[in-house]
Amino acid sequence: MSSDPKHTPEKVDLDELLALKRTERPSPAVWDRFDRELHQRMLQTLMKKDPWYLQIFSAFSRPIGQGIALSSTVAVIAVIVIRTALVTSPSAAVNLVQDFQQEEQEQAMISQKVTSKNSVPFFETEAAINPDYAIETYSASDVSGGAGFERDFGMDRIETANYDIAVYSADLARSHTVFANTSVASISF
Amino acid sequence: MATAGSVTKTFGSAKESASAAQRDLDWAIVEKVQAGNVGAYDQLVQKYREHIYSIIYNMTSNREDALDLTQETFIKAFQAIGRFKGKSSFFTWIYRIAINTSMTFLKKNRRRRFISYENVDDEMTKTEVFERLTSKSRTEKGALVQELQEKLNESLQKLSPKHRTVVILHEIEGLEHAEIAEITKSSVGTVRSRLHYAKQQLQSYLQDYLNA
Repeated sequence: MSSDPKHTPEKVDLDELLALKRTERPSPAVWDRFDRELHQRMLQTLMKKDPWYLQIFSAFSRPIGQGIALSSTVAVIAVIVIRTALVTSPSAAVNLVQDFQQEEQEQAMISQKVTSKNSVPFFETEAAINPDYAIETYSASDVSGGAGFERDFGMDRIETANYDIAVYSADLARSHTVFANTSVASISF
Repeated sequence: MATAGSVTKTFGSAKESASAAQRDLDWAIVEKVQAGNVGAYDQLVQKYREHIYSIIYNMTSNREDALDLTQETFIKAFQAIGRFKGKSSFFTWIYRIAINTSMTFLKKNRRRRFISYENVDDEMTKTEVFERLTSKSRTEKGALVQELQEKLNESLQKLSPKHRTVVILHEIEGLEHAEIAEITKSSVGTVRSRLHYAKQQLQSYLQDYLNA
């Protein structure tokens, strides 16, 4: 018997108590049934075809599959890299410059057409020097004579920027940025 | 008279299976199965079914579920044996599958739990511990067996699954801390800490018997 005070006959140790759990076990007959059922289930497992995603997974887990997966990945990365390089290459930049020049030429042709209509060059006309940005107001109160037509939260008026098409075209030809911040119309409530 | 020590010898411990010779033997069988000899898998089933069953039964406290989950564990291992590379021993690997299968089952059936106790072997009544308990409590042997079984199972079920796992593997299956750490994929320190906490809990649940 152990001399350890823990193992004196007066005291039961937790480890000893837990060791009693080992005596809980099925009878041998249970294992016969267990083996039969397990064999049946294993047979079913062997017969059953895996779902497609598992087949793909198992295919890629093999060395050949891994090789295919690796080469596919490399090919995809290569396509992405080459495509990126082509887009940012000098030839692509040249194409962009050519496109811009072509656009400028078209704009110049439009302005020539506009100026050809008048004997005086357009840039010297009153409209070009003092473009009319006047705001015209269409108000419901104006239409109805100002009485009994206005509604709360209803649209009261529409303000539109009136701008001559000829002036617009000429200005556009001079610079793309002239009207960048121009609001065409505004609606007031 | 049989002692708790003799129970350990009779039941066999997973520690014995973990020896290098056993590991080599298991690996040889695994290689046969991987080569297509499905029948060789039976040897592994015969060798580990009782250990796997014991782990799962003590995790669930339901013998029908435990038998079903033991089969499931062997099926899962069979399906995955082609991917087993032998980096760990086979018993570590299959114990891990058993633990994971039990954990999944417990999570799924968190709200639906039935208790179904296993038969207690006659050996329990022959142990020295049992003799001591009987003499002190002056209870009839049959009644004490049932009471003790219920109390032990209830106490284990009160622990969290992670703490229960560590207690089962160490106290019932007799595994070393390092082996448990490998199975549960945690550090040895974590295993020790969980075991310490779990045993403290069990001490309080089972104090009637410990102080008898």
